[in-house]
Parts: sequence; structure tokens; C-alpha cells
Amino acid sequence: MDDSSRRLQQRRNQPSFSSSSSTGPTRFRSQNFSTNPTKTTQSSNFVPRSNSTTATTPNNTRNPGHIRNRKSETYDGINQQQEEQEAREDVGSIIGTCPFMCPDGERAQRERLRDLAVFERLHGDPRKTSPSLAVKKVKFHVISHQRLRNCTSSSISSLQYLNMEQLTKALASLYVLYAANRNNNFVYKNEAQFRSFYVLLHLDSKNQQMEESLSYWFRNVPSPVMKSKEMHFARQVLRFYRMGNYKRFLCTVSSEASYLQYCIIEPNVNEVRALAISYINNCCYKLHPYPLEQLSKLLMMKELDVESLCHACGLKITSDDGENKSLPTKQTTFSIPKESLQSYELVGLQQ
Amino acid sequence: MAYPSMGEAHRRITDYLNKFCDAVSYQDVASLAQLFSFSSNSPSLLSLADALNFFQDANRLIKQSDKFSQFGEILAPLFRSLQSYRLGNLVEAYHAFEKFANAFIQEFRNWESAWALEALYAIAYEIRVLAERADRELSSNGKSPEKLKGAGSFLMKVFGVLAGKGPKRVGALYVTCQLFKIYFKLGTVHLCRSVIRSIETARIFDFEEFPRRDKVTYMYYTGRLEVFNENFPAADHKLSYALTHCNPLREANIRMILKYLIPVKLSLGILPKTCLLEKYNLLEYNDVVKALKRGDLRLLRHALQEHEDQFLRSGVYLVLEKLELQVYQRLVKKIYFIQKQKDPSKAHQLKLEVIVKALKWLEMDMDLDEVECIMTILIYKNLVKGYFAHKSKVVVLSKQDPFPKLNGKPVNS
Repeated sequence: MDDSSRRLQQRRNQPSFSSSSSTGPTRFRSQNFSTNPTKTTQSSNFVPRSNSTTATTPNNTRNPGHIRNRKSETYDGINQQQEEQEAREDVGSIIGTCPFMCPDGERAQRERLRDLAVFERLHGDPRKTSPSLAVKKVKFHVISHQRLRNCTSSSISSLQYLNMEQLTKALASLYVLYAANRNNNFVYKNEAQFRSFYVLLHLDSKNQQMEESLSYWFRNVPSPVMKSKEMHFARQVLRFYRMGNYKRFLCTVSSEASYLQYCIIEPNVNEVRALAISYINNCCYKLHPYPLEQLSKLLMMKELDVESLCHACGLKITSDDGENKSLPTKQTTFSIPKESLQSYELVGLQQ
Repeated sequence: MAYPSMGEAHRRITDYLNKFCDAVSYQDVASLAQLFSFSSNSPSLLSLADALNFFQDANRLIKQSDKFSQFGEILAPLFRSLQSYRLGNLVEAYHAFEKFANAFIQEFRNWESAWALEALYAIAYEIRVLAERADRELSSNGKSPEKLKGAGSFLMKVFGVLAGKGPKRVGALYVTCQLFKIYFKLGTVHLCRSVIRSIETARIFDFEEFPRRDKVTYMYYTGRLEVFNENFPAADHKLSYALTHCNPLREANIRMILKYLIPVKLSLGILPKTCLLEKYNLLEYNDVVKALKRGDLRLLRHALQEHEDQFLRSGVYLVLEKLELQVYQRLVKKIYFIQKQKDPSKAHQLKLEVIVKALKWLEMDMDLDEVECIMTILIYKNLVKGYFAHKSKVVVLSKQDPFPKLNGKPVNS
């Protein structure tokens, strides 16, 4: 993916809520964001000392280990500034805006009571706020999610955690808005895509809380949304992921994922590749080492990346005359790396 | 509404007041419970309501005698609630009923024995049903429905009252089940967690002591929660308990249990007989079962599509979708048997292209890569024993037990 096409324009201190600037879900256009830096990047209480980053799945929201007890932190003022500086540089020029900072129930209530702040009003109407305002915030967090994952600075993991928390909150608010404003004659054009994000964030059913169970969540999704192209995509991806069908998972993601959907699902792509290697290592005939060329086509990766991934998983690669490389199977040293997997390019990604 | 005469109204009200006080004095819980079961719409309650609406000053009657006035805090809101109920003002009826219920609980706490538990059950039931109706009234008037949530809070309080060492504790499970119904209806099932924890870990509770009916209901709901979490062994245990302990005459309840138990059992490789599906009208599972028996992937997908809305609503769709791997296993097994008949010595070698052909015949277009992928999954998850020779594109099956049965365990993740 071309970096320049993702650079966000900056505008200082001007909220820009033109509701007509809702972007299509599949083509990325440069976004206009006003610049209230989210408070979290400057909070001094959330910069951990450790260097290890863990997988950026929503499961992190339940891991208290990332947020240290405020009282036990003794930070040297200079170190703290330095770390924040590093973090800012690493993340680049994303500066976010929060079009609303208000719990969903309160916003719905204030809508009823005509108590909406000026910037929340749709077309200046004090009785109406709109999902499109919530949508912008969500898009920001999805993109941040992907960017933060590719950062290596030591203070990133807390930002990742907080960003994920904000993302899930924003999504939850958005769904409440959709439900509250449900109108049988009108389908919000972004709803399907933003519902699909929820599915993509919950592909892994392990370590999920009861209320996050997709079976439970699907009950409340309206039927036309369930049948939408975006939800169909997400449900297919879910099915392939849970079955372990790496072939269809990778093909479907590469051919159908929108930019935002890909941002969310990127860690799963690499997870599935590692899983595929583990299956192949486990099941294939010992005397037929698996050619890397074919493996790379299967996993939609460059050969060098396949080699790197195999090494990360503790597997050796052999080569005859240094030319044709293969993965010998039935190696006993396979293990999923504990740190999050490096992201490898998805060859053939069509966006 | 047939309005009684003043004298008649007076008589009905004092009659009721006497019944109430006598029921308490003689600890006659059956009579007591009937006195506030609004949802029964019994003629006597309705005629009392008419009398109250006509008489308009029942409080004076209550205060008139010591026998009645000792329960004044309970009776006054009860009467108000009944009046509103009769007039169709369900929100007001709910408010007053909650006041009545709170006052009743205060009195209930003072009674040492558990004689009044059935009356408490009646109140728990009625408050939930009334709250649901009140919420419907609020929604239809464009207001936000919050009475059922309030009923939930009230019942949590009741739970707290019962959760002690005394004989009243056996009532806690009934209240728990009413809470489950509320949380399921409101979509706040995460709130079930704390009551479940109290029931299952608190030392004061012994599960076997609870009434059978409540145990069945409890296991049904907790079993359903396990289904949402795809925790199949636990779901099997709980739903099976509910099934075996359920009154066999309660066919509607059995059907509800089976609706969730069947997908769970299928995931464990256990298939129901068609006559069971027919008896309890669960024919939506018929094609799924057939697909598993035949290894017919096309039929499974078709069945899921045909009943998609229904399966999504009950929360079993993803469970059924997962059966795909077992269907693949069955298909490959059939191919193996056919080959065995033709040439037993070579049967354990399955060419990938043969499997592709079989799938094409089922109108499933898959390329060699995908079939290879499926086969590695089956082998990895121990649905097929053997290995895959990539160069020759052949699956070599183990000579012994190449298709292990699930034996009541879910497919390995």
C-alpha cells in the first residue's frame, strides 16, 4: 500500500464536520481532520516502562498488566517527555479529533432533550446528531490501530491499548446510534461496513467475554445489514478463520477487503499464515519438502518473507544449490512466536 | 366495566382485606399468592379492581381497623397498582407494584420461616411481566423503556434478601431464573455472570437443595450461555441435565431445550433421530443431520441458507456452520469406502483430484490448492489420520482407524 496515499492532511483548530464528506468504504481519499490531539497521548500515567509489545487484539482491553498503578510509577520528568516525543515521531503526523466525547446513552438522551452541542448537530439541527459524525471517529481509530501496530517505539503498547479501547467504545456508540435512528425506509450507507468491523475484531473466539460472543451479537443485527456485501465478506472471513481454511481466508481478504477492513484484520492475516505453516509442517510427507515458491504463492507472500516467517516460527529452510528453497516438514521445533508477528505484505492485495 | 353499588364495593374491599390478613396470620401462602397475581386476570381480582376504582377511598377502610392498618404500607400501593392495572395505565401500575413489593419484602424479612416463599415467587413473576408491559407502553408513546431494567434491580435486591443461611435461601434460584429472563430480554446477558457466580460459588447454596423446576430452568439458561460461548462440553452437560430433569409432559419446554441441545450434540458427533425432530417440531435441523450422514456439503450450506434468520436469532448459526469439517470428513470417508470396494490394496491412497471430482459432483467448485488446504486441516484436527504427499498430490491414510470418531468431544481447535 502506497504510503503517500495514506498521509492525512492537517488543519489546525478547525472542526470540520461537513456531513457530505462521508467517504466511500472501498477507496481511500485523504481525510480532513481537525487537530485536537487526543488527550491520551499526553497523559503521563500511561507510558509503561517495558519494551515488550503484545498482540494488539481486543483481548488487551482485559489485560490489566498494561496499565500500571499510578502511584507506583516514579518517572523522571525528562524520560517521560522523551518517550512521548519518540511516540509522536514514530506515529507520524496523525492528529486526531473527537467529534464527540460523550457516552452513547447520554448522547441519545440529549438528542431527545434537544441538548446537543453545536458541533454535534446535524445540519445545525439541535435535535439530531448523526452516525456520520461517529463514523469519522471510528475511521480514525481504525487507521491508528494499523499504524500503531507498525511502530516499534517502546511506549507504543499503551497507546495501542488505549486506541483499541477508544475504537471499541466508538463502535459501540455508533451501533446504539444506528439502532436509535433506525428507520425502515432508510439504510445508513456506512452501517454495513462498520458492523463488519465488529465481526473482524472478534474473529478469535478464545478469551472473549460472554457479551462479545458473535453468536449473541448477531441476534441484534438487522437482517438487511446481515445480508449486505460487507457483512457477507466479514462472515466469510470469520468462517474461513475459524475453520482454519487459510487458502480461502487469504484469497478473500486480498480480493475483497476494503482499506479499513484490512487495517483491522492485518494481524489475523499473519496469524493465519503461521497457522498454515504449522498445518503443512504437521501433515505433509516427510520426504517431500514443501517448495518455498509454492508456499509463497499459497500464503500470498514474497519468498523472502516466507523464509523470515518460518524462521520466526522456529523452522529451518533447506535449499539445493542455494536456488530452490523448501520447507522440510515434520520439524519438531515449530512454535508460534510470543511477540506479535511482523506484518508481511499481502501480495495481490487489491486496494 | 360493571360498577358495583357503594355497599357492594365496600364489601368486596373488606373481604379482600380480610383474606389478606388471614392468609398472613394462618401462613396460607397459596391464598396469599393469588391475591396479587394480576396477570391471572382472575374474576375476583378484576371485580375488586372495579370496586376500588368506584369506591375511591380504600385507604380509609384500611386505616379503620388495626387488623388491616398494620399492613397499610403494603396494601395501599397494592390497591393503587390494581386500580391502574384495571384502567390500562401500566406504567403507573408498575410504579405502585414496585412500592408494594418493596413493602412486602420488608415484612417478609421479619418472618423467620420460609412459609411465604411462594408468595415471593408470585411477586417476582408479576413484577417482571408488569415491567415488560409498562415498557411496551413507554415505547409506544415514544419514551425510553426502562421499567424492566428497574425490575431487574429490584430482583437483585430480593436475591440479596434470600442469600442468607436460613431456610429462605432455596428461593434464590427462582429469583435467579427471573433475572435471567430479564437479562436475556434486555440483551444484557453479561449481568448474568454475577448471579451465576453467587449461585455456584457461595457456600450457603447447595445446588441439590433447590426445587427441581428451578434447577431445570437454571440449567437451560446457563446452557444457552455456554452455547453462545461455543463451550460445547459444558453446554452439553447443562442442557442435558435440563432435558433429563424436565417434566416429560412439558413438551414446549422440552422443545426449547432441544432447540439448543441438538446443535451442541451435532458438534460432538451425536446425531438425533428423525422421529425426535418430528415429535418436537424441530425439522429445521433435518437437512443438517442428513448432510452430516451423507457428507453432503451442498446440503449443509443450503440448509443454513434456508433457515438463516431463524438460526441467527437463536444464536446457533455459527455452531452449525462449524459442522462443515465433519461433513468433509464424512465425504472423504465415503470416497475411501468406494475405493476400498474397487481395490482394497490401494484404498488408503486418496488422490486429490478424486476429491475435487467428488466435490464438483456436489456442485462445489474447488481447486487443488483449496482441497489440499482442507485435507491438511482434517489431518491436523485429527478428523483424518494420515499424511499428505504434496509432490504426488495424494493423501495417504493410516491403515488403522483413518477416520477417528469424535466420541463426544468437539473437533480440536
